[in-house]
Amino acid sequence: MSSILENIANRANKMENKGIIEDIALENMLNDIKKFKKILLNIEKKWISNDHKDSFYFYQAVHNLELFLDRMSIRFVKAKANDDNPQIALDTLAIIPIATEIFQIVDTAVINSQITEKLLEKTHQLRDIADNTNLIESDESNMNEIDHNELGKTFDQIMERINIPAELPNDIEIDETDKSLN
Amino acid sequence: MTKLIKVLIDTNVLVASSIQANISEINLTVKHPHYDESRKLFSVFQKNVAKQLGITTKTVRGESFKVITRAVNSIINDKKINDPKVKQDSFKIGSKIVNLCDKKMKLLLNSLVIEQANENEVKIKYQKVKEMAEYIKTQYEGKYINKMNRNIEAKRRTERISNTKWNEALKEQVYWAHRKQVEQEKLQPKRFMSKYPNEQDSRILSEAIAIKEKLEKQDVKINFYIASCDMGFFAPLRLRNGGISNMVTNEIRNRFNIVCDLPREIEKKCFIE
Repeated sequence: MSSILENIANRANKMENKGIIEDIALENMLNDIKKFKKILLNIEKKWISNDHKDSFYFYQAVHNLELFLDRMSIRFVKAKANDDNPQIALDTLAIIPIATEIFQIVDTAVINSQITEKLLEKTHQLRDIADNTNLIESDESNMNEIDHNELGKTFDQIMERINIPAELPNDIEIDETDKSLN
Repeated sequence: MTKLIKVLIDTNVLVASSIQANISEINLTVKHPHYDESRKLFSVFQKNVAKQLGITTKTVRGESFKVITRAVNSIINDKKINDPKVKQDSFKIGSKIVNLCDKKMKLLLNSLVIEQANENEVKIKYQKVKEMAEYIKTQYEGKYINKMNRNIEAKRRTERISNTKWNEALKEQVYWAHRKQVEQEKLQPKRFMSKYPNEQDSRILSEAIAIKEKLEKQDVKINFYIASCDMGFFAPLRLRNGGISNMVTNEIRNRFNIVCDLPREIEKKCFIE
């Protein structure tokens, strides 16, 4: 399935070489992105229904790939108007290697602590590269698909979970009548 | 010789200053309890860009992302969700939070220099940090681990007054003052021991020492700080009555000449110097 990513890379290469995005090339690129997103949505479903305690990490990695595809599509569509070629083609090429690595991990059914740790690293790297190549999602993306009350609640729970103590004891209390040694 | 200030930002400061969101639709602002003081320190860095006061390492940067992602994962697991739709919504929210925090973190990182320490040097320093940690463990087990040891320690400190002609009530008063002091001293090493051996923080300290020495080799004298909210390793445990428990952070200062404190205390130091 990573051949779709190869196709996307080849098309981006051609666009970069030509310095223009022809209509047919744009259409083919958008079709490939669409196909790849469909595959990712199926993999995402697989991880949602997986009961493993670390399945969220796999979902998170797949979801980030989708977010970067959405951003990539928008930039390709607007590339002519925004004079964004060859930059969008170069940015796409920059992110393909890490996207391929992540895809290979999330496409398998194997979960162990080593793979999970590697995936966390790769997801972090993907987001760094996406940020440097202007392929990172906007703060507003997916906001309309989310229950905002739940979002607020989960934020509160995270603060408790991260456990950086904020409240300190006022004073040391010891029982001065208790002289026992135990 | 020039004297510079360098402040290494610990994982929890980066995390605390990233956890903030304005959810305008429900008119809600959420932020971490340490958000304000952590952000204030970043403001000092931003106002003094040329001085490059703030630094961090790849370990801290990578760990900060993982800390938030792991926290989200553990919250989702605790909910024990069976309904696929509810689980999907929960994953969506979790992913959104991680990404919002990560984007905030990326903005903050613009005001920090990411220093790379030589890996061999870090390994050498790690041994020294390990020695320090073992020393703290021995001290904790000897003086503070349980009430009996703390009583013995307080009695040892009051030994020289036991043969004086002071009345018993006064001797008693002095004893309890020392006992209270021992109780207070116990707080930081106790927290340190709750995460012992702490490989991640030991690694960060080893990197800090290696970076400090690397910079000093450039003929620069440095006041090196670690800003942290972790009162069991990189920040003294400050009581609201003004008391302080700082055995671990004192050990770091004495052995490696690195001052560790809360962001608000480091901020004051940046201004004074």
